[in-house]
Parts: sequence; C-alpha cells; structure tokens
Amino acid sequence: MSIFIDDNVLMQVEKPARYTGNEWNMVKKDPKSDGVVIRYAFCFPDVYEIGMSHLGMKILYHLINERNDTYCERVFAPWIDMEDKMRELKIPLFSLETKDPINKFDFLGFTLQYEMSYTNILNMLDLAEIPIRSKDRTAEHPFICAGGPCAYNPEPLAEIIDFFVLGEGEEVINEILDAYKKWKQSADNKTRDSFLDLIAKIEGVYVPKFYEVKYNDDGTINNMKPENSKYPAKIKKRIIKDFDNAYFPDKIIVPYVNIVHDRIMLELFRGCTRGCRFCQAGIIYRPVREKKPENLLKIAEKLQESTGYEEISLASLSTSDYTGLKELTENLIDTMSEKRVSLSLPSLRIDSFSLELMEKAQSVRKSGLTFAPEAGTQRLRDAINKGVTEEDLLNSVGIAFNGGWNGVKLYFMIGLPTETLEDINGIADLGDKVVSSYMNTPKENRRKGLNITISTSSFVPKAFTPFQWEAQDTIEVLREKQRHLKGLIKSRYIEYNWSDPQLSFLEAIFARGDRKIGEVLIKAWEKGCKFDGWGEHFNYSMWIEAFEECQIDPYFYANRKRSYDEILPWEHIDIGVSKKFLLKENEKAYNAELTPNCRTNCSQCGATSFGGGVCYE
Amino acid sequence: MNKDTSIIRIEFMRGEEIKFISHLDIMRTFGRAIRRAKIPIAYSQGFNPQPVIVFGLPLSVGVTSLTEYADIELTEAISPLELKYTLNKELPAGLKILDAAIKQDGKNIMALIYMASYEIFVYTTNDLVNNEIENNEIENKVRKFVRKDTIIARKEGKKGTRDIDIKPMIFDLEIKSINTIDNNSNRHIYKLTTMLRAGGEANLKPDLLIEAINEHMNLNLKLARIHRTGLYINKDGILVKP
Repeated sequence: MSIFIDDNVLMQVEKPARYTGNEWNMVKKDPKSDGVVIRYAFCFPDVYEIGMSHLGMKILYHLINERNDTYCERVFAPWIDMEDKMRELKIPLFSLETKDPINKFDFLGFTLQYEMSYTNILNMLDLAEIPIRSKDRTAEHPFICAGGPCAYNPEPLAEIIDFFVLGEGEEVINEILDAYKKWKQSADNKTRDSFLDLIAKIEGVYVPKFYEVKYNDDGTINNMKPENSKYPAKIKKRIIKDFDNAYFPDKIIVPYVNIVHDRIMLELFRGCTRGCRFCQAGIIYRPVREKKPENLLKIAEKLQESTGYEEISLASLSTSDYTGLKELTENLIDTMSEKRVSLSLPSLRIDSFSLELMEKAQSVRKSGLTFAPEAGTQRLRDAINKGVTEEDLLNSVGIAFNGGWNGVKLYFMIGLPTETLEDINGIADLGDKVVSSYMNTPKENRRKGLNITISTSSFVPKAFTPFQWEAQDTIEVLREKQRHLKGLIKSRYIEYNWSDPQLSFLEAIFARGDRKIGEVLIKAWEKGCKFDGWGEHFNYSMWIEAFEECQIDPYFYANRKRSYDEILPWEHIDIGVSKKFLLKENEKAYNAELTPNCRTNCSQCGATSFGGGVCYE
Repeated sequence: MNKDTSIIRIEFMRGEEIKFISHLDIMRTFGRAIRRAKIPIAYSQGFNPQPVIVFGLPLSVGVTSLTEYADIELTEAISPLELKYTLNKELPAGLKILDAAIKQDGKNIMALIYMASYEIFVYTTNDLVNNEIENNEIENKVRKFVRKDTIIARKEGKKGTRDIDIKPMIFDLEIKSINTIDNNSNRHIYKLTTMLRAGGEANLKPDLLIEAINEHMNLNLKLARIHRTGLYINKDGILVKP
C-alpha cells in the first residue's frame, strides 16, 4: 500500500531528499509481520531540516521503536512546492519509513514547539485526508495526539487534537501504547470515546472533549470542569524523576541533507534554575535534573560510533549552570579530538574558564559571541529576574576582545512589563559601551573588524510564567519603540535587527488563547495560512480577516491585562509550579526585586512535589 | 610513508535509494561512513579539517550510476580489500564499493576523468503513440542532430549564461525506441546511449544535451531518467577505466 512517487515529481521539487527517507540508522520494520500491531506517525509540523534537528523527536522515535509491537515513523510538513504536487496528483501525506499513507495509522503524534506552526498541523491533517476537527473523525481514523511546550496551554487546539500529553513524553507514551493495545484487543473497541475514556485516567493525559468550559459575558472564563467526576479536575504534568538514568538512544538518524542542527546533541540537564520572569521553558521544565558527566561521556561515545558525526554540541537551557561542565568538557575534548570530532559550544557565561574552553573547542570561530542581557537597564533586568549586571557584561566582552574576538551579538526584548523609554535608551547605551570596551582594548590584543549586532524580539506573554497576566504592547507601540531605538543607534559598528511585531502579536494570541480561537485557526488555514513562522509565507491580513469573520477580538487575548482572579484558560493544567509563586514573582517584578536561583535558595515554587531533581540535591 | 601507496582508489555505485541527494551530501555521507568504519583517513590542514577524499566527477541530483570513483588518502596503510569490506558495512543502501585498489598514477581522480557514458531515458507525450512514423521521425532527427558540424547550446555557468559549441563534446549518441512502460499516460520512451566529454577541461551534462536536441531539432523530449554507465580516463589517446 506504499505510495509510488514519480521521479519527475521529486525532480521538480527543492531538496527531494526531504521526502525519500532511508537515512543511516532509520528504523526498519515490516509493518505486516514482526508482531507490529501499532503504527505511530511522529509528526513535526515544519520542514524536514527543522524537525530532524529536534532532540525530543530523536529520543521519542527510538524509544517507541524499542517496542516490538509498535512502528514509529516520521512525517514532516512538505514544503509548498511538494504540497502543490501532492495535491495535484492526489498523493496523501505519507511516512518517510514505509511511504504508507498515514491516515491508516493508529496514532498521529504532533509536537508543539511554537505556536506559529499550528496551521501546519491542520494542513498536514488535511493532506493526510483526515478530518480537521476531532468530532468529525470516525473509528477508521487515527487518534491525533500532541505534546511539547505549547501543549501546556492546549486550549486553542482543543477542537482539533484528540488528546494531549503533558510533560515528558518518555514517561507517558508507553502507558498510552499499552492501553491502546489492550483496548484494541478488547470487545469494547468500537468507539473512539471508549479509548479516550481509558487514557483520560492516565496521569498527564488531557482529553479536551471531556471538559466543559463556560464563559462570562465579558468573554473571560466562568468555569472549566470535567463533564464527569471520573476525570481529573487538574491534569498534572509528568516528569522523569531519575533523569540520569532515563532512556537515551545510542543511535540517531544521520540525515543526508544538511539539517539545522546537523550534529550530536548532548542533553546535559532538563529545566533551568534561573527563573527569568518572561521565560516559559524556565518554569515548565522544573525541577532541574542533570545527567552525570560520566554518563554523558558514555552516551557521546556511543552516538559518535553509531553515527560518524564530526561534531557534538551541548544542548540545555543555560549550559553554564551545569554543575559538571568542567569535567564533562575537558573529557569530551580529550576523547573526541583524537577522533577529529569537534565540540560546538552554546553561548556560555563568559569568564576565564569558558574562554579557555572555547579556545580548546575547535569549532568556534573567533567571530561571534552571543550575550542575552534581554533589557537595557539594571532596573528592568532586575524586574525580569535576569541576574546579569552591566559590569558582568562589560567584563565578559572585555575578556573576549582581549582574547581576539571581534564580533558580539546582543539580544534584547522590547515591550517587557514595566518598560519605559529609559529602558529602550539603555539598549543603545549598552551597545555604545560595548564599542568603547573594544576601543579601550590594547591594539595588539584586539582583532580588527569590530562587528556588533543588536537584535530585539518583542515580548510575548506566555502561560505559566510570572508575566502570564501581562498585556502585550500593541503592534503600533512596538513599532514605535523599534523606530526609537533605531534612531538612537549611531555607531557604524552596530547593526540593528528587529522581529516582526505582527508575528509576535499572533504568537501572543495563541500562547494564551482559549478554545474559542480554535475556529480562527481553522478559518485562517482555510484561507491559506501555513508556514506562518517563515517570514515569506506569513500573511497578516489573512489572519485579521479570519478574526473578523469569526467575530473574535484578537486584542482581547494579546493586549489586555488580566486580573489575578481571572480564570486563565490553562488553569486546569498543573505543572507543579504554583499560581501563588507566579503571582508573587509578578509582584516582585514591579518592585524590581530579584529571586535567587534554585541552587542558591529555594523559593518554594512548588516543583518539589515531583520528588526529584535539584529540590532534593 | 610513500604517498602513492597511501591512497586507495575506490569504484562504487550509486543506486536508486540514494539518487536524490546532492554531491555535497554524498561527500558528507562518505565522510561519516569512513568515521564509523574507523578507516585511518587523512585530514586536510587548517581551521576546519576535512577528510581527504577526492571524487571523480560529481553526480547531479536524480542520476544513478554504475561506476563512480574516489581517491581516499590514508595515514596508515590498510589493504584495499579491507577498506572495501569495512566501508561497505557502514555505507547506506544505494552506495556500494565494487572495487578498491592502491592508486597507481600520479594525478588525482578528479583531474583524470575525461569521458562519461550515459543511458538517458526520455519520453514524449504525443497523442500519436505507437505511431511508427513518429518514432522514426524522432529517431531520425536525433541521428541528424549528431551529424551537425556545430551545435550551439546555452550553458549556465558561474559567470552567467554563455553559448558554447557542444559538438566536440559528443562522442557517440544512439537512440532506440523502447516500449511504453507507463500505462497511465501516453508516454513513449526512448533510450539514448551516449559518450560525453567530462571533467574539468570540458564537461557536457546529459540534461544540457537533451535541451540542445530539443532546441535544434524542434522536439519536446522530456527527461525520465539518467544513468551513468561509466567514467573513463584518456591514456595516450585510448579510453580506459581509471
């Protein structure tokens, strides 16, 4: 039943190897024998090169394929050129492994990495000839599930996804597959609801159709509760308690085409001890859990042998905070340099140790160092709990310039809560101070060709952050701030980049949206929205039309400050971190008061309830 | 170590499974397979050391090949047989080493390649399928094409498009009509067997040849498949396998 795709089709599309699979370490199973009873399509709602760079997918793909009874295959969003061909020739969406159409699979699992990939989910379902809405699917269709960071506010996708998995998939997926196998063999396997009913009782599984939402006249939520008391009122995320011993594949797929992160990624730890107040990842992945250096070295060695990769990178939220960084990197450089494998480092806090490390790691060009002060003044940096001072930054760039670096990238956010024009001015000032630091570096030490980039993104309030109640600046205000900053940057050594406020506006709507905006999403997709995260395909006016036609006010979601007692659309999700903590953090922001990181002092966020990680070190 | 004995020339094929990847992808794929096989390959000097492996002639995306060549430079001697055996275990489906030998001649393989032979499958979608007159006409036109004194074609290069005479680069060209293999369309398939100049000095790609045929003979042949059947070097005026 596998699909035959004519060579001519593949010859007419860009990068045909996106669609042909067969890469080294791809898992091969015969779905008709081998006892395979479950077919699982792991769907990434973006192109191959992006999806294949995602570490979570690599882990889950191999984890699921450890099961003899399940075949997990990969599916990516076909690029526009391929989609046109598929629609023209009526080729349904297929998996890379077997090229079988995925509408006959048992599960489609989408990973939700960013809000602006949601239209691609609809488009992929449609290409797969599967009804967009959960309620229109019948017994012959696969179950559609989703997980990942955006699943913590699942409501905008409540009409589309059959069930969500909250928390770390490695922990839950096997329970779901076991339940499915049992259900499939049972007498009671006729209706979709009978299966959903079964798994709704698994901790971490959220079946939106079993929950009812009532609204107030002003559009806010009145209440949200399960339609039957047998379902949990609060759905608690799942985490791996013993992360050091958690499953990690010793083989990963080696793509033919150059993907975004074409290297071995070592996950040193999950979570972050810092608690920046705008950052969702810093909260939702709590508590911090590390892998031991000796364990990581073993993983690195095995992966290097099974892939032949020439580069290893360290992937975690704030790598400098890894307690075993020195031991790990020294050993990694030792063992890997003789194999001609280079270590690529993420942006690290710059001190003499990290600088020495960068000298030793071969893959670092002495051009670009990245810093993320996020805000232009100390007051605002304190308000967002970014524990960085101007002195830290200038010290670091000073060391770097003396060490022969000549390129610095500075990342900031504009539109942060409590921001004033003074804070915007501070961004330009900081840029100038970095230029002065270079000029004050002795000529014999510094390298010619200073090149500073200042980039500003626009603040997007996210669910489960201390800023979840905050209003986003309007598009006009963000533009005005960008213009203002642009006018202040005079140095010829500084280049200024900014992000598109229209995109940030839509991101803000979906990041904190409720069930009602699911209709807008469907409408926008019907109008042709897809690949919204790709500048050239983002069509703002089409989105605005969709809001108008659905009579939904987008500003209600993005630009309205919410009160502490408002029921937020994600209130039935329990991430372990308490609302009380987030509220306190929000208050502290207005007093520019810092909160120490988890290792210095526990701030009682609530993540201790998981019984593991940094809370118990 | 004597440099010449440390270079092994491999002959390999590229099959259907792997034909949609670019030359750059092939190079990376070999580099990684060599690492997995732990073959003691030499690395280039400089900031970003690369494994020293030189390929005979790049293959375009979509083209399969019966015989490709590459020179692999080693830091310690291993037998060609061992290299072939260990590397084949680490190569993905579609790439296979057929032969390996210590490199004998001085120049590297890229500098030596002189000629390439191809089987090019083209088709027409005329309504007059199975019409013998049409068949003959196409075959005749292609035969007439080769007999021309000069054949000007537009070649896209790094510095823009320019007109070149491709006639001296065509050494042999035969056309044969073969049965329609595709029942769903009115395709009529022809197989062209040809020998074309290849390498750094002068290089004619099959797709350009088909374009030129279409333009000069007023035909509308469409490419179905290209298969490289051989690469040759010019040894004192005689074409031999590398």
